[in-house]
Amino acid sequence: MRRLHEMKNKVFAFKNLKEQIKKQALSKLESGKLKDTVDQYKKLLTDPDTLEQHKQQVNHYLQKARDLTAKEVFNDVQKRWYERLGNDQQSKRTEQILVNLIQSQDQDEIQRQLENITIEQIDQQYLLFSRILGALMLTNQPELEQYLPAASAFVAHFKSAREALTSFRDDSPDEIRKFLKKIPYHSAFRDFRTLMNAVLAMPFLSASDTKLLNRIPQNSPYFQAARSLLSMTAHGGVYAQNLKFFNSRQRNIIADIKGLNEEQRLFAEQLAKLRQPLTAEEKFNLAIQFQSYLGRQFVQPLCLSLLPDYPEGFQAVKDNFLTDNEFEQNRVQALLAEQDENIESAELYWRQCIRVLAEEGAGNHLKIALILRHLAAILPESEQLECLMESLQYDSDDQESLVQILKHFCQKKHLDDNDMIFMEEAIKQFPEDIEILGFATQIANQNNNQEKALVYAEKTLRVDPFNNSAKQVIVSIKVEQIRNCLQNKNIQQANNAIQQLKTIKLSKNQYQQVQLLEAFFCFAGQDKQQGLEKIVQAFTSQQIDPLNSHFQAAMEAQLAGLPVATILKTLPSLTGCLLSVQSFELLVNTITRYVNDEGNNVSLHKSLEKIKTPLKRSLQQSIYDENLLLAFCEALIKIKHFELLRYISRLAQKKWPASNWVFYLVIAETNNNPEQCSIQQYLALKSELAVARKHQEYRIVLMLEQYIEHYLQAHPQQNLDMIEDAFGVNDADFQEQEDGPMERLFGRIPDHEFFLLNKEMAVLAKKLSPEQLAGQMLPGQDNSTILSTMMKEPDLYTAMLVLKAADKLNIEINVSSNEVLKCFGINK
Amino acid sequence: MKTPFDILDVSIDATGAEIKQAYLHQVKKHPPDHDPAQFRTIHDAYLSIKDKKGRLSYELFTLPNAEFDELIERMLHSDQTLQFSADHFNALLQASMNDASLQNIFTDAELK
Repeated sequence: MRRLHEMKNKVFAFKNLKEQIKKQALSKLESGKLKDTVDQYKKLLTDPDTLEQHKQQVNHYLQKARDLTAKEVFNDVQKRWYERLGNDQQSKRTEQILVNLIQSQDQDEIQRQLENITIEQIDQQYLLFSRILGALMLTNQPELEQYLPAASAFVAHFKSAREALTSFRDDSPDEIRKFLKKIPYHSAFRDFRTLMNAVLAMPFLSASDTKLLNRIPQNSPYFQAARSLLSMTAHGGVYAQNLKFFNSRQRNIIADIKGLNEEQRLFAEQLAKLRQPLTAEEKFNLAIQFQSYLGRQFVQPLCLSLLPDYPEGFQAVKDNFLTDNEFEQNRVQALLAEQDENIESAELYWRQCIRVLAEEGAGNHLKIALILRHLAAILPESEQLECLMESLQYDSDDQESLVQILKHFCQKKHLDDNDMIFMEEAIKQFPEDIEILGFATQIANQNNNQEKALVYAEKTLRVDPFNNSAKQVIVSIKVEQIRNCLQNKNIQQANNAIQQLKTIKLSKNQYQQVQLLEAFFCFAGQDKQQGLEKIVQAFTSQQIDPLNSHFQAAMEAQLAGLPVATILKTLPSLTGCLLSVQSFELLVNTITRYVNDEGNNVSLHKSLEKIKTPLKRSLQQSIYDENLLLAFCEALIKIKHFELLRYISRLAQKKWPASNWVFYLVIAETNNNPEQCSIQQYLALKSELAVARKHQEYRIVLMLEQYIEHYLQAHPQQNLDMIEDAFGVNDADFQEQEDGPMERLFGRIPDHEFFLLNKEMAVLAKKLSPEQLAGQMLPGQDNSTILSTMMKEPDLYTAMLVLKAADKLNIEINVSSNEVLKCFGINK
Repeated sequence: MKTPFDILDVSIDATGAEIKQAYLHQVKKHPPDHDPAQFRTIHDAYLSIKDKKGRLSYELFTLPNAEFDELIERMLHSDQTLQFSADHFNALLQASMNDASLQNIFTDAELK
């Protein structure tokens, strides 16, 4: 606290002193003692605080002093004033003027100004000017030395620099260093010294040399020289990047020092003129221009590599490198066309390549085959098979092509004899190839050639005993055989097939199926009672619940032509049976398997009848995963069991009000026949489609779109628009109808109520004519006006339907018949 | 972008055996557990050119891959040592002096 107080007192005293000086100066001025006045001002000028804070005031005093005193005194004051300020703007301006003067080469004026310069100015004040002057004197005008103060450090350093240069000419590095040492850090020739040291170190600049060269400021006359030195030691791309910093003369000097030849200089000049980064065209043109220097072997691949970005260069490539190479011309054009996604052109060029190769001889067969396979990869699917087949003519043992061809066969509905022969040949060529055998099995199966499918599947298993696809095929075929044998009472054959199956390592489900069939065999061919016991055992040993047991037994018995009722009687009763989650999952999987394997809807329907009641009870009382239910519904749709579908959809919709269940309910109610779909159901589906799209439920979106499309094909469009527009279902139309009477009256109705109203309206529309409807809504009224309005405005009829439906369903919509009439401009 | 031949460090005329050797050598340097990304690059490169069909396919269905920087390197390459004479030094200084930047040695901010 005391110290602060003391400081405050000192400042106060100091300020007081300044005020005293000012007063004294004024007093001297008033009394006409001008020299004393100026002395007082000089005192003020010694205080830096005065200078900074009171510039205007001081200038004012100076102005006064100038007016009153002789010029010499004024100059003296001014000099002190500017000295105190240091590098103030006047000094800088003076420096700039001097620099400009030097550059003007006005020798007389230069001489006059230089003669006026003091040691202090040249050594301390005009630092930048000194630097420039020094560089000028070293390069062009050493004679200027005579005009400068001989005792100045500048002149002394200039002499050292000059001697260093002379020693450089004499190639005396030690002498150079000796003279350079005489140039100190603060000299105007500092940058010269840095340059000279770097030159001595060339071509290996140390990190320190590089650092010092980089430090030379941009406004130094040595800046570009430093940059040039740095650039000289750079190579290739770095050197190329630096070219833009130099003018043509500098580039030539650098090229001289680097020993570049004429072509290299020309290249450097061309490169310097171009803006970075270079375009593909610029690179291409440079490569072509200098190909004789670089060599064709280098330039050709470079030009080809640039073609994708500069396809216009193809003609130049052709003229320079591919004149007699028709194949290469077409190859390059094919690749460029592919890049441009012009597949048609690409194919044309590749075909030309094939032609040229074929003309050259048989040695090119592999190339031709590869080109054909390449074509197969880029052409549309419909053309792929042909290319692949063709390629095998030139290279017959290409496994990949064979696999691709067999994949195509898999997609064909029916194979002809040639295709089958081809497949046989493929297997002969690659008898142990799992992929080929797998496709062959699949193809044979698809073409109902079970004998062949079995052969191929067995071959596959011999090569790969764990191949599940092959096992599945064998099991399916054998099971089918066993069933047929049992149906046709070929008991022994059935048994043979069963024994064959048992040699394969079966999955749990497959084993259970075989066990059941074995039991059936026993029932049908050996001992009925024993057979029945075995049937029961087949289920109990696998811990299968009664409901699943009944279903599977019913299915298999039907397919094997055995008495269903007799077999089911031996199984545990279904009374009170509820399906657990796992059991329900098993049932869904079993049904799905039968649907995929058999496609026998009648048997499936009958089997489901056997378990329908407990199944429905389970669905009612148990909680199953929604996805499992959806999978079940998919199977039910495939087998067209719409009763169960309806039942499940209604139950599920209460739990999960999602688009799926609305859709399945419509499917069930229309027996999956869009022709039977009503307008209201259609509208409901459209509404759900919008919801599904919003929630990105792509699977259900697809199903809805497909159904709706079929519906629209089955129904004329015009009848729909009225209803759709009325309820704003079409989004595009909705905006137009936004302010329409229907929107004004019913726009507030929530979607789920709307859906219910829709359904009821469909029913009412079938029952009530417009006259009847008007009569019911407005009893005792003259309805002629209403009816005639309805003719002109069908929306009125729809609006009245909405009211009627709401009334019937007891849904509160807060719209009266009067409001409806008023909205349509009918006064009661 | 490196070609499969660059990645395996073999010439474009290398045989299948040479390519395989090169592949094994590269895999030793970049084993899958230490450098999985590089291993994958090496492996893919090998698969694309390991047999005759692969090499032929590469030759047929790709355009060359050349870097323009290589052109600059070749064009501006000089085996000569720098020929730095006093005349050169003087010329460089003169050229620097002639540079337009000396017209305004102070910035506008410094002159205010």
